[in-house]
Amino acid sequence: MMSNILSILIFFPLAAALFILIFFKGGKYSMWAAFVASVIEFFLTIPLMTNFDQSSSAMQFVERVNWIPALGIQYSVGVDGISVLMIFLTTLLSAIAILGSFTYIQKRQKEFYISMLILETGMVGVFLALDFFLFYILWEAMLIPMYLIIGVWGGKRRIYAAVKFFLYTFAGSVLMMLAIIALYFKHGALTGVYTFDILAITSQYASYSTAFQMIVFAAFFLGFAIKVPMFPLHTWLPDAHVEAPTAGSVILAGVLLKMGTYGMLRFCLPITPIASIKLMPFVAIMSVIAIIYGALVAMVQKDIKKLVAYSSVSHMGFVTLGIYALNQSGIEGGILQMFNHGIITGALFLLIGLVYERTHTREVADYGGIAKSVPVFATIFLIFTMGSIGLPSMGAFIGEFLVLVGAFQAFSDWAILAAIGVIFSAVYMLWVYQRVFYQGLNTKWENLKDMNLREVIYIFPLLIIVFWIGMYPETFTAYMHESVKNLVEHMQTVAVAMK
Amino acid sequence: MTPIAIMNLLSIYPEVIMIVFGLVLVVLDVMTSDEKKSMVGYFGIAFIIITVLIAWPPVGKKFLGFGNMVMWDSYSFVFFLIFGVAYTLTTLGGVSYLKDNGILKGEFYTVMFFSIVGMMFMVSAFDLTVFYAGMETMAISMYILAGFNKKSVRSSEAGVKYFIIGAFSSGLFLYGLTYVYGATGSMNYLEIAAALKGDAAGLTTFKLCLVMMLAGFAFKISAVPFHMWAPDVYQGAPTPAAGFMTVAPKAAAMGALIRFAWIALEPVSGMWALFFSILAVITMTYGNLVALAQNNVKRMLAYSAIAHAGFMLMGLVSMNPEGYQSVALYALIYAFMNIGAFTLIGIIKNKGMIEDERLESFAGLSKKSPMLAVGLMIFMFSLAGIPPLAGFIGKFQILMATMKAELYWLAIIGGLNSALACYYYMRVTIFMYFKEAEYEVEAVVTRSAFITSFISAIMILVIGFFPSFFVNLVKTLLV
Repeated sequence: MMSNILSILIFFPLAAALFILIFFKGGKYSMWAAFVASVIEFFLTIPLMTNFDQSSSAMQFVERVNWIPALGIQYSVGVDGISVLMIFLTTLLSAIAILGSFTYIQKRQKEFYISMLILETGMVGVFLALDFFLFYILWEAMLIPMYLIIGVWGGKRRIYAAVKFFLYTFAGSVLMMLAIIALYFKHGALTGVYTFDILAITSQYASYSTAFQMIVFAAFFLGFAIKVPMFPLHTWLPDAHVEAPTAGSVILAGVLLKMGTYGMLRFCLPITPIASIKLMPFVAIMSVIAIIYGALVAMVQKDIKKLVAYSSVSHMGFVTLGIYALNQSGIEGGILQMFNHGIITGALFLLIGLVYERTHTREVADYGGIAKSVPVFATIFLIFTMGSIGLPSMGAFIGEFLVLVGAFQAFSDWAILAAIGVIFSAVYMLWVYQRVFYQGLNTKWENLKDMNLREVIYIFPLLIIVFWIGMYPETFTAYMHESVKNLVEHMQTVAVAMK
Repeated sequence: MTPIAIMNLLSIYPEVIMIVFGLVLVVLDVMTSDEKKSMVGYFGIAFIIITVLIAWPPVGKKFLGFGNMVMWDSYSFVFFLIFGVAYTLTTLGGVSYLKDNGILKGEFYTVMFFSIVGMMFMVSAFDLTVFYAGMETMAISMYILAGFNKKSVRSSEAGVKYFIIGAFSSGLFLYGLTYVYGATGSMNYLEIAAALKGDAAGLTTFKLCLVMMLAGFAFKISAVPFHMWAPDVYQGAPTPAAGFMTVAPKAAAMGALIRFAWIALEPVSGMWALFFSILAVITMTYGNLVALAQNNVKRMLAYSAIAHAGFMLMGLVSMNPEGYQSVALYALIYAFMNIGAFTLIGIIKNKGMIEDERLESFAGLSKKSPMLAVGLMIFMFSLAGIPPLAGFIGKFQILMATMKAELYWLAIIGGLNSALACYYYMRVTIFMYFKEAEYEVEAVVTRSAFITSFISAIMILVIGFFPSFFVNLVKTLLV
């Protein structure tokens, strides 16, 4: 089984979705079936994690099958230290998001769970693809289920949000497709082998001229920056987050945003290293703007979900800042921060979702003093609030710390500004916590029901992981050391050659 | 028989078989009762399948007959295949529409059948006279199909409009053709090319003829600014006929244009390549922009058909084998998705005050008839070119050909256009999935419509997931 574990991971959710489509009628059965399928999918990643060779930076569990030989397209998948963590995050959050939707999704349940499973196939596939064509297909195909999830099960302005999300991402990725085709022909002209193989195209990086790299970098970067999203391309995110159902927000924040930064790590840096190094300050400035701007805008939000959405812009700024520091600690911090942000923001969205189910409002002003009636909820929310701020002993602290260490080495001025962003995040998170849970007792919520067992169950794993990373990050960073080291060495060779 | 006579016969035998079968269809039409006229169409399908099997060419073999006037080769065959697919899907899917509108007549099928003969001659022509004869056969059939619902004002208007503008463009084309003869002394593609290698290309008359002929072509493929007829005709024509008209004649004109431009006009490619690339840009952009503003799905698809024609022109100007392979593949995929979409649109009946094809009629369809909504969604996303559906494969191939030709600016505009187009296809899905029904809408998926859309949807998924077979098919056939 281990030899084709990756294909199983990709196609199992799809098979489950088809199974549900054909054999289940009611919402209740399909909901449990989808949950069971996603849990199985999660447990399938455990052997992947344990059998993963941490001392190698090479792609592992690689599978290659000819798909469209006429165009040099293969079905090829593989996993390395960067993607393995993303797979873990994806399958974990998918299972949790599905469990978290049991009561939230009231209409057309069967279709919802089918969409979620198809989405999972796309997400896992994007992180595993080793062929540009396969990558692009999955990258785009993912849009359809997400578009439906926002558009069908979303809030009041769901249509606007769904269309905006779709068009933004689609427009960005079209240019990416042209860049992929350009690389295909360039690689073919250089080696005589026309292939979409990512590794083969990457290996020729030294032959790509600076001008060519700049163009390809621009096309890729635009597509990824929209996905991350980086300022000023972030405007789709608040809309999509606010309107999406809880599960949609969790997946969006937890996994989809990570694809942008993953793409930068996988394509921008290795394939166009000269352009990356040259544009490093530019990306750093954009990241710092995102950190500060996201935090400032989050501060004034009246809607809790929107606040968390803007905080995502801010936190993802740390990720891009770390990646473009182009050193070991920066990139490792960036990846760890991707992981942390997925866990913490995912949890925050789940928590907001479950209280919204009870109160049907997300306005900060409508709440007040609910800590009294829902103590368990308040405690858990506080933990994740602290996690989001980056309190030591919790995951985000390690991530942000590593990013800042890396950033100080690369560009110290900007790192100082980024550090200020951390303070801002404490301001908006604590302030909103105070207003919702303590200040001004709103009698309306005296009889608010606290979290039930199901809700505690799906938050619990996230709680453990947050502390785990905070206490002993090595469990997770051990996976990426070699891959990141390889990447950094790759960048350094180019940087030396440039001088 | 002498070798020349055999060669002559081989060069036109598929067309001959088609004509004989067409005449048989006319006889069958007389023999069937009024309620069973669809049998004529089904026989037509059988005949086409038989002809396809007989005419399947040995790869790489070329039969050039009648003094280099007609060529039967795998290139002609691939386009014949596309016409056959279009005919089959239209026939299967249109039965209930024709029956409901009281126009289930045998002529519908025979006319469509004969139009294919015209299209085959267009694509296999190696001589402008043959090409012109084929084009007129096709065009006259199309005028009839457009105005087939003679009780409907819109359909009659479509027929008349198409006829007048079509006649005008044919006249323009014919006039240009005379200048070609004047400038090069021949109507034959090969001899024209030979003359153009000499000094004929510099003649003013030749430039004049080029403008007129290319304009005539542009009319046929509804390229902007020669597109004015297209939206009215596609909207007014009976829905199945519209599906056929957006696919087959366009593929035929494109196939013929590629052959003419690449063989006869090859020495002066610089003169027309830029002309067509600009035309491609204008056509795509205009078609998409106007389609954005449509509230009638049929009219929106009409404008989208214009945009798709512009996209296919990109394959023409790329001037490499990938270019025409991708155009052929694109036309085949387009046949499936567009006729599939037209079939499903044709069965929606609004009981309220608005037109059947208004976007509002599609509201809430996903609840009422989920299968129909899924089918239409597949067609819409495929038309938008979203992977993993077949439309993406076609788009991808054309963009690849354009990039290979190093026409980067054109590829970028094409890519951005496909992002633009995405929105109006999405609007249909928005209404189907995200909105509640406002009007009472009847959408009975008849057996024939189901079969057509099912085949189309399956083909779209199959080509999307396993394009290898089809990519190889056009690659080996169109070397």
